[in-house]
Amino acid sequence: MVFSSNIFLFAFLPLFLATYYCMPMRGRSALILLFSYVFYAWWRPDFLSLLVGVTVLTYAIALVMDYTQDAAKRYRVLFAGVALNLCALAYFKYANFGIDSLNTALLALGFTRIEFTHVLLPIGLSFYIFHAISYLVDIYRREAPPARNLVDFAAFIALFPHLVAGPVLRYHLLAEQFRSRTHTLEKFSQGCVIFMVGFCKKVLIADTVAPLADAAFAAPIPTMADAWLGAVAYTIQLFFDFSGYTDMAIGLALMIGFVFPENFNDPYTSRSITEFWKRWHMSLSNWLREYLYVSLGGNRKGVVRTYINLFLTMLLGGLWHGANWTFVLWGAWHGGILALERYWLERFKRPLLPAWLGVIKTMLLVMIGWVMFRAVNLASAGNMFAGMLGMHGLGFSPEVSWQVSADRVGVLVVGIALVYAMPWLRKNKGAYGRYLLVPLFVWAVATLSSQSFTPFLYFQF
Amino acid sequence: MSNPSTEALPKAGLVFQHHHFAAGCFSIAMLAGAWQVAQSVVKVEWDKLPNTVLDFREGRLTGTLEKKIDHQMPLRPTLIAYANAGRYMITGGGGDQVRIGEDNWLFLTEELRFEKDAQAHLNARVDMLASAAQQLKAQGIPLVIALVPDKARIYAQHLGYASYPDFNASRYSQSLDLLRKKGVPTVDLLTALSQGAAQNEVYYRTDTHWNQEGGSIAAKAIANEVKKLAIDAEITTFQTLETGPRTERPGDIIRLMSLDTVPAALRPRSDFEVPVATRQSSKDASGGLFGEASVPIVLIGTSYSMRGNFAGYLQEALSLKVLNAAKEGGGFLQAATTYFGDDSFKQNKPKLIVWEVPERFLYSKLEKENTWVQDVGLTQK
Repeated sequence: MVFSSNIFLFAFLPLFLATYYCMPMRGRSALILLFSYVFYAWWRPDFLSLLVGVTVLTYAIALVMDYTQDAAKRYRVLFAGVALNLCALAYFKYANFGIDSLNTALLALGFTRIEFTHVLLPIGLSFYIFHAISYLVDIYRREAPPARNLVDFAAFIALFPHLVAGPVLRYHLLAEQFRSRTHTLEKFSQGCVIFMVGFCKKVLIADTVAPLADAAFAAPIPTMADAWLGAVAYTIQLFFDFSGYTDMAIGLALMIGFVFPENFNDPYTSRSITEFWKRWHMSLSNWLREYLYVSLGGNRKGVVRTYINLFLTMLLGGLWHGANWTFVLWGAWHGGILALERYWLERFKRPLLPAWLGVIKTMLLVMIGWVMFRAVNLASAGNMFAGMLGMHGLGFSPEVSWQVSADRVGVLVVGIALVYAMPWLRKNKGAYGRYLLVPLFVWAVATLSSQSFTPFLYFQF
Repeated sequence: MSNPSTEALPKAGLVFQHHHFAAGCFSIAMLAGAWQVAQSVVKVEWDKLPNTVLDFREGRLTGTLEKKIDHQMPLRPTLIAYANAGRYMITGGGGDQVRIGEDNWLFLTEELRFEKDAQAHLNARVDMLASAAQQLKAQGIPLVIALVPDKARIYAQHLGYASYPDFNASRYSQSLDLLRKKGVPTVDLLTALSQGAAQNEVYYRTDTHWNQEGGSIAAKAIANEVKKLAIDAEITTFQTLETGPRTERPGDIIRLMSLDTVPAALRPRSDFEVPVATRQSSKDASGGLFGEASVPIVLIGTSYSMRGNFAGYLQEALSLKVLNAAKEGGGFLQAATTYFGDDSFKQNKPKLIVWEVPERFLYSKLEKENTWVQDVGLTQK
């Protein structure tokens, strides 16, 4: 089920909220679990068994780990638990990619290819596997006690606001809220507002500029105008789509008393890539730092290992997004820049550029990264870069020009303006926004009816 | 480590002091929507949903059910209309299928789109038309193609910030040349309509099609071509008369934008016209009835043949009866496929066939053009 759908907004959510608030506190985890499973199974009921399997197995392993006193044994149990979760992720997410890459190599060497039935990627798998790993590691590190029962734990994994596309939550930050949390009108109202803002971001901005990005990335020989339009449009689309989604997730959680950490903090105003990763998809950055970078040794094993760990974390973070060399390249791009920026700062003790120039430089680097991220393969990414350099001509190509309409470009400009005006608006003129929210939300709900199905971009990861 | 429950509540963009009001509106919207869903669920024909275990397991049951609920919500058409009106009023956008021009001129994006294999599609269709013309000629039936130019070509100056795309600039003349080179009599409606457009509007502003002025001009241009073929048929005279007062006519592009039900202030200004109809003004010498064996000319084609009194004007310009066998919304082939497969063609051969073809249809994705002449049985006679 998708947050921006009639069935969610007008059937699932009211029914859930009504029963949730009628239910005594002790039954609420079970209710969340039941509704979350319906939410998940609406896409494909058969993959619910995988979610249940991962949940039960992880819960059992954590119990064993918690009862084990011997440190070495505890580590082995943790290792087995994390490995099993990663095996599930590897099979469903990377088997096709691995076999396809192997077949390419085999064919190049003159061997016959391996026959293989492609595996369907269960929606949200990457997210709930990360949640399960977070639980295991937190119990291992004794940062949180094990869930008091399977229902609480299953509800943490399946909690529908974050189930299919995050934010990626660390168990120890949410454990206490499963035990007790407050429900106030203030929280509920704030949640509604945050949800409405996210809904408008997705439906009114991200979905409107999407055709521009789609057209540019589909152009066989993108010109300079095509490629830059595509890069800018995708940069805006991805931000409003994903931050819109997480706003909705945060808002929904707040409606039932959960406080999720923020996931975006004006990332496109960052002055460096290092700062960008402190502001973009913060829950993933934190997860990667806490469970991957630290586990790799972080900065505790010398200068060289620190750089290698930084690079590896981003490379694996890139691969987590999808089984494609484009994501590996994107991860390497960001990992490489992070390492360079760290080196520069340690060597010269000051940023490379003044703040305003730093923002422009960061945006350019981020956009180049998004091109790799959006392209269907490396050749397509190379083709877009050639276009951005003007190697295929300057003006719009026929494939793109007919899709460039004034309203789409207008919304793109509004999107760009909002990205940069938002920090100032929030501080100074935020109150005026209240007059716009309700009409914009009504318009977005109406627009939803006239659109075909538009899933969130992060559903594919 | 900080406990998030004690942290400040997250912000999502603007800070709203009146969030309770917004939350109230949100709750009302949810309840109103729930009422809509309930009304829609009642209408679902459960026995027509995918009902195997596999359908359920693989999500086809829930997917179809969701689509049905969405589409049957009673307020859906109204919501779409007002959402599109909002988009039109605020951003000037017309959706994926419509390009908004200046002064209430509306265009189909289909006329502006880039077709990747356009040349191959054109060649295939020209070959098909040439083959059809040859087969019909062998049966003693001349075929005349009336090539309808894009509205966006004739009224490119009203496209606003955009222009008629260069990649389509020569496709009308190229189509005309190719068809004529293959020996298919083809009427150049572009010249006639462009000359007409210098005097009066020849297409509706809010509709894809030509208006009565354009229909009349096109009919005369076709008649000039047909007269050269000296058709031996009974002359019948026709007269076109006004049938009512000047009335508002929201065009099909307004309907495509789903704005036909919103107040006029929220949509582009409609066209106005005085309705006319063409009636026979002479008596039949042979006593045959319209639509029977005595109809000498058959018109096949698209919705253009059903707008702007074109078929009526064609009868008047030709002084011959015309059977209008065009089809609405059937694309390039449907009317011809239906007509050539019908007994009226097999039993009563016409003296001539006029095939009205919008230029964009020659370039669009192919259907069954490569085998069409055989499929409809034109080669067997």
